[in-house]
Amino acid sequence: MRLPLFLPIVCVLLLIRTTCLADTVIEGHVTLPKSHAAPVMNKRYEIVTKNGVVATDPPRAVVYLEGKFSKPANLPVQQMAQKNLAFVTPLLAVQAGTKVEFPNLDDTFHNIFSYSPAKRFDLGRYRSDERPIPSQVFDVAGLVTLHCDIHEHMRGLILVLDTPHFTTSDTEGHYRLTGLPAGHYTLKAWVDSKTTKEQPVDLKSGGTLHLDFP
Amino acid sequence: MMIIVVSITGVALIIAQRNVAENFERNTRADFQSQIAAEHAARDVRLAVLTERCRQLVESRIRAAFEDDAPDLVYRTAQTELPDALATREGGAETPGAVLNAKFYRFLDEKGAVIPPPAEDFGALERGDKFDERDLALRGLPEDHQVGFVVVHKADGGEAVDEVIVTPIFSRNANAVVAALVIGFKPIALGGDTPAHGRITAGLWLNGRLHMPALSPAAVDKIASRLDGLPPHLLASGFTSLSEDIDGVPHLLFLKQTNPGSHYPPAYEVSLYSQADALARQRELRWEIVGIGFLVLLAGLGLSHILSSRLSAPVETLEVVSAENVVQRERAEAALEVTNEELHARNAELQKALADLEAAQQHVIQQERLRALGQMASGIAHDFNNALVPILGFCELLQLSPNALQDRKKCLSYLETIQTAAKDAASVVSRLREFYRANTGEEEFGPVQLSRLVNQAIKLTQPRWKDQAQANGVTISIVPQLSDVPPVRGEESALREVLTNLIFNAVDAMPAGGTITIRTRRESDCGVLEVADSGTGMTEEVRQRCLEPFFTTKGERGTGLGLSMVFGIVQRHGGQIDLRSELGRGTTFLISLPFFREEKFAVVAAKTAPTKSLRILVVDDEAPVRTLLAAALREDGHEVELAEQGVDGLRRFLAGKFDLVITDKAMPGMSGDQMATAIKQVSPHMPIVLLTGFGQFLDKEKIPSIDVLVAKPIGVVALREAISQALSPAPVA
Repeated sequence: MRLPLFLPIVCVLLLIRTTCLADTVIEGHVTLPKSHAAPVMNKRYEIVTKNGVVATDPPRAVVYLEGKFSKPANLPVQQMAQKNLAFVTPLLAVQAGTKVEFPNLDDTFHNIFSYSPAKRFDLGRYRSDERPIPSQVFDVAGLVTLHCDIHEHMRGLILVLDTPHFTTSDTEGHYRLTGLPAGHYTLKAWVDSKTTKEQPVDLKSGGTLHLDFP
Repeated sequence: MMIIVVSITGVALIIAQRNVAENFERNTRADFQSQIAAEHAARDVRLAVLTERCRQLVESRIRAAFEDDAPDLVYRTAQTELPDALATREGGAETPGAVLNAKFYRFLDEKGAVIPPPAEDFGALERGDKFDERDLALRGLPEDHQVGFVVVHKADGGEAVDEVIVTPIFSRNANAVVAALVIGFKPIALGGDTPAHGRITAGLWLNGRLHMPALSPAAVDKIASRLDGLPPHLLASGFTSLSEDIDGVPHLLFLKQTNPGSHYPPAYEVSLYSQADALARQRELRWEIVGIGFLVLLAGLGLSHILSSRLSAPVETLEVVSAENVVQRERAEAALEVTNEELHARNAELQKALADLEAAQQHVIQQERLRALGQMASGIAHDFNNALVPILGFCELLQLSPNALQDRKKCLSYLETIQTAAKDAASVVSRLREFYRANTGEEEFGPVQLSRLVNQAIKLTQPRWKDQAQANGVTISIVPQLSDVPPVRGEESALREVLTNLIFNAVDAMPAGGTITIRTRRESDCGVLEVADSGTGMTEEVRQRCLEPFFTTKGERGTGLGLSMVFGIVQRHGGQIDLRSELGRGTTFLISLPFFREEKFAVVAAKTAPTKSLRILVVDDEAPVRTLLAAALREDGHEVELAEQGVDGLRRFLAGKFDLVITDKAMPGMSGDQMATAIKQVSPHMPIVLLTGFGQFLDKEKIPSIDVLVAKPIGVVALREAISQALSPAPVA
């Protein structure tokens, strides 16, 4: 219902951007490992660990542009909600310095914590009515594994990146990065905890570059 | 002649003495071994509990810390997690952790070396004990839990041996065992601490040193040097030896490795059993036998002397005057009299010896009873744990998913299952009492519906065959095929235990999942219960031995008591057990139980059924209860009027004419006792029966308007009794 209203606005916005700023875009395809789960209709995906590799299932990649970028003062707050004893967005990519809130949408307690080197924290036990919503600021780039002390099976990943230019691919591996600055950079694709693919890119203002990660 | 008598007496004496000695040795040995077996069974149960607890502990933040490469947080995490789960908190005995007696913990790194605690405060659950950290290290990490022992120097200068359990920590991120948690426990005390007659003194032989605080150093050295000399093959298979002299008293010695297959150095449990008591009895008996022998000998000598003198007298003394003959005869007669008296005395001695032998037999019976008690005790622990499985499982389920708590129907069904299991647990405990009570043979057997029993057992065991199996990635389904079978005669909780045990056994027989089929079937004079699994099946040897107590194929996980208990219960019910098994195909247990005959019950019911037809007002807010009461009362020929609540009931009472009022207590609006008070004001002699779910919390004296108070749930017989009680004239105070 909301889509028809939304589309024209996006089109207009895109039109304005392309005409005014001559937007630079990279799009392409990341070859993802085969999913071992049977294809299902629902769009949920989860974090799985197999043979020592942590990844999403079905697989998704985070594609990001690496380079020297200035840190904006006010980054928008992100959310890592818990619902039905699972993380709503099991894999969340954020720019370093982002504040992430951890709202509990279940009617039971959660206790989210992380022992990852990039960010160690323990939110303690809290319910859905906890105010302010428990949150953490992620300053250091790296992969943060989230656990729940009460629900051992719950897993979440936060990929903290030193760049404002990133996107999460769909489960087919298709991605599209927009609003990029011109210059010489490295384009990286995080596939799982052990694999990050990369290739150099030379971006000229305006135009669309097609780049696949084999 | 004398020589013959002496030698016969001597031979008889030697044979009797040897028989007595052999009997004693056999009895002592049996007594000792049964005590040891009972204590080992208890220790195995404890070890299983401890390792399971350790396994659960590791599946937590501790594992997360190793997976996410935060070794510096490991001790800090453990220091907050472990005391909650294990340690002796203040207040001691009341906390369940205190029973576990955990004393310290350490972590091993990927090489098996001890990761040193970051500060003095970490690693100890009980203060003051010191030990060599190197004793905990292993060469490489194990795949499975390990049991070892470590010598601990106490703060007061004493020495103790603690039991340590190593639990490997598997990191999914590294796909390997990356560390291990070592927890030290105070070991279970075997036997007594002080050597006493007929009791076990236990110790541990570790790294060539014997730790046996109850013994003197000289005795310890003596046994240690004896153990040092043993060849290895004797060490591997529990070793029993007779008569080790300790402080001059012979002892039975038993040696068994407590941690077979462990990566830690082998530790041997050394048990000593004092034979002082037995020897004293033996010596006493020996003297009695020698005494009797001596008397027999004396009598024999006397007799032979008399006979020889009587035979030789005529030949040798033909020329001796008859007067001498007379004198000699008189002497001989006197001697005979003496002999006669001696024979009487000997008879009395023999009677006494017989009485002593009977006393010895009683002693043996007592020992047999002790052994049975040992077996019972571990059997009860086993059953009690089985009964706890659904209670803990469903409680946890309710705690973990608040959704279930809001679903009233589901919640109630869980609670019912918990209640059934708790009742079973109570009946297990009550079996202990049965042990002390002489078995009169008059057990309380009632009619048991097999199909109901099957459904209950399936529900009860669900945490094990469904939830736990699923957690292990295994699918087990139970298919009930129930046919209409008349009730069998039995004790419901005992038969439920039979089914529970058979289901657990079937689950254990299907490590890769499968189907359990439970069939009920009717035969000419009995009901047949069939439990079939699609599991591994049994070899011929296992099939023949599986009903024996302490026989198990489950290694450390089993006590070997489940099936023997099933056998015992079925026998007690006058039933039969049969099993068919095919290796690789599965096992089927067939249990046939005689039908229940109903005469007895019918007689009881008829006795209390009143002959007079009454007009009865029934007030209850719950429709099912109301319907049940109405049906039961109409069945007995009464006229029944129903009301849903207090005010309605009072209105109907005033409008009609009744002989009796039966009312529920807790109802919305006017409660049952309020209504009763109102009725009594109008007609003071109207008998009123109050039904309540809180029977034990109410005192009839506090509600003067009530004639009879009945606790729910109420059955037909109890209802009849309550009515006749309400109608009979009240006793004059």
